[in-house]
Amino acid sequence: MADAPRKLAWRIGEVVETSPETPRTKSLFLEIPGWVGHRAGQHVDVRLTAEDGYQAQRSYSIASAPENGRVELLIERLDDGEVSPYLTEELRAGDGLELRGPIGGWFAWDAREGPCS
Amino acid sequence: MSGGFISRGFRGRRRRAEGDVRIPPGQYLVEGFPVLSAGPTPRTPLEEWDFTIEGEVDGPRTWSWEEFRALPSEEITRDIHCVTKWSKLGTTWEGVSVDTLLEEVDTAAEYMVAFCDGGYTTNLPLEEVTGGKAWVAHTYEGKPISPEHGGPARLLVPHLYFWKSAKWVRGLRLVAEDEPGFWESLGYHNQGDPWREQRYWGD
Repeated sequence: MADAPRKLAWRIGEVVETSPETPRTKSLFLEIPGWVGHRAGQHVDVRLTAEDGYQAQRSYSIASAPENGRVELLIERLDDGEVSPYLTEELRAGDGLELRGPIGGWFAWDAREGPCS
Repeated sequence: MSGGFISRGFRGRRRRAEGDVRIPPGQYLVEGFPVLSAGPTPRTPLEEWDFTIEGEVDGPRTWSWEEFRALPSEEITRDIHCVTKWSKLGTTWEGVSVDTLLEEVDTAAEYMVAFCDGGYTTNLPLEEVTGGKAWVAHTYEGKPISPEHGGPARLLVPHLYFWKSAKWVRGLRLVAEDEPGFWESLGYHNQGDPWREQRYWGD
């Protein structure tokens, strides 16, 4: 039996660039100290914290290939959303973004095996 | 390391005070009923459906759909919490208590693995599914559970994250030693208590 897995730590990534993709979607490019890499198809949990301590968490798929140095999230803004309007309209380069991951071992694959093998 | 981090400019949507105490940490309220599945939706005809308790038992016990539906059902109204962060309050189900099913077998097992059409499994200690804590549900809001929500029958273990409430359940395999199920083998927590935010390995 393997050792008990360590808790997946929350990390502060830095938003190094944002890029609108469509009127409703925006890419966030992140540099995340301590990031261990990911497999295609995995996701991260993003946690936002207001000044009074109120928090909201959401899961987002990782949009970048594992070989890229930066982690990209592609966010669709939902008009009645709580987190996606913040990520697409408020967040800008230089901001920190708290997240943890990569998460998930099912909807995931490696380039050498392809998604359909 | 991340203690005290503030998301610049984030205010967030404040919850209604009434719902506040019923929503576990990191969850948000939804009014709809999101559908999340790891694979295609199986559609087993009721005449082919049965439910089996097997494994570490004196003998396996199988119910046809008619026999299963003749067992006493209970109405259950509970809040449900998905590990993908949504919570839905006050859902009403009807189903057969796992206590009722387990009365039919003798076992010394302390764990079970629920198995399903499509190959999905999830593991639970028997103490988490006995004493009025878990059901095999056949009815949701007064109607047969639809296939995308796990019909004809799904496990209902509402005090744990909802991946433990296995859709399309076909039986329980009682085991002496705990065996991680599908998501429990793929990075998700073995217990899955939403109030302790046991989402992933190590939480």
